[in-house]
Amino acid sequence: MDRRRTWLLCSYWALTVALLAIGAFLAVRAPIDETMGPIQKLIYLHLPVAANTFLAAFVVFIASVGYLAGRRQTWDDLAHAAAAVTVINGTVLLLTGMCWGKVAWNLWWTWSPRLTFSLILWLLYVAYLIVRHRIASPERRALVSAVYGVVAFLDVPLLYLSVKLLPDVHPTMSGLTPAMYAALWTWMAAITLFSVGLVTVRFSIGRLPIFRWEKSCGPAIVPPAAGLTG
Amino acid sequence: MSDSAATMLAFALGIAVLAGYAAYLFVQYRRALARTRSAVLKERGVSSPKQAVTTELKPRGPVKTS
Repeated sequence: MDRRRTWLLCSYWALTVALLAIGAFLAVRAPIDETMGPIQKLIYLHLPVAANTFLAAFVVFIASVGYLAGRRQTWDDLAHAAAAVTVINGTVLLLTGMCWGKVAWNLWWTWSPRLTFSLILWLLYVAYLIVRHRIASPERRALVSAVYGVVAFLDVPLLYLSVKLLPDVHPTMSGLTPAMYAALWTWMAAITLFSVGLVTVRFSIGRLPIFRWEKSCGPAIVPPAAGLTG
Repeated sequence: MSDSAATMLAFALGIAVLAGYAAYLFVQYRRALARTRSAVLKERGVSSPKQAVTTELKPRGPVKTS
């Protein structure tokens, strides 16, 4: 069983790395946009991490609702794992966006609605992780995090609506050739697999008996037999 | 800095953040597994993993009972 699981895990990460390599190849081969120049190629990373930031935030929301409904620790562990991946994807989203802005607008940052709501989203999930870290009691931590996870997700529809309703300097996706779409969808698949893999590994760490024991009782010398050997 | 260099730098930065977090998680996972293993061994009264392996060895020849 262990050997099969290891084989599956290795295959999963090999597929992810292979897709990233193919994506990199397709991105290099894709034609350069006439108006934006080479910096337009950043869309192949920027857009997938944006989509996965929202996807991970949605998982936090679903897991938080799940915890509030059933009070099962599994949901809390899933929300924690997804929140960490939201922050990581959000970091890459902001970094690539800033690099693009510097080249295209000669500005690292501008307070446009989409950029502002993206920054707020990132800050909300950074705060989520800090709040979790500061609460000692596991039950209280899970409850506070679940309520926070539901409220924090409200920024995502706000971000979506701001794009539709408010004037914004942020460019929209248009005029892509089939070769550009091929690169974009390969990157989308690769980054999604990568993010799902990260959530799974983070979730698995949270589910390890030693971690569960330490979370509730502090650093373990000898955890209870049922938790470890069962 | 040229546009091409800025694009490559931004890609490198983004991939480095993602890969760095993946590596951090991998190390954390390995450490947690090792701690779990050592805690199980302690609980069973085994001082080192080497000792635990020795206890599971089967005798090669017939064992004299008399």
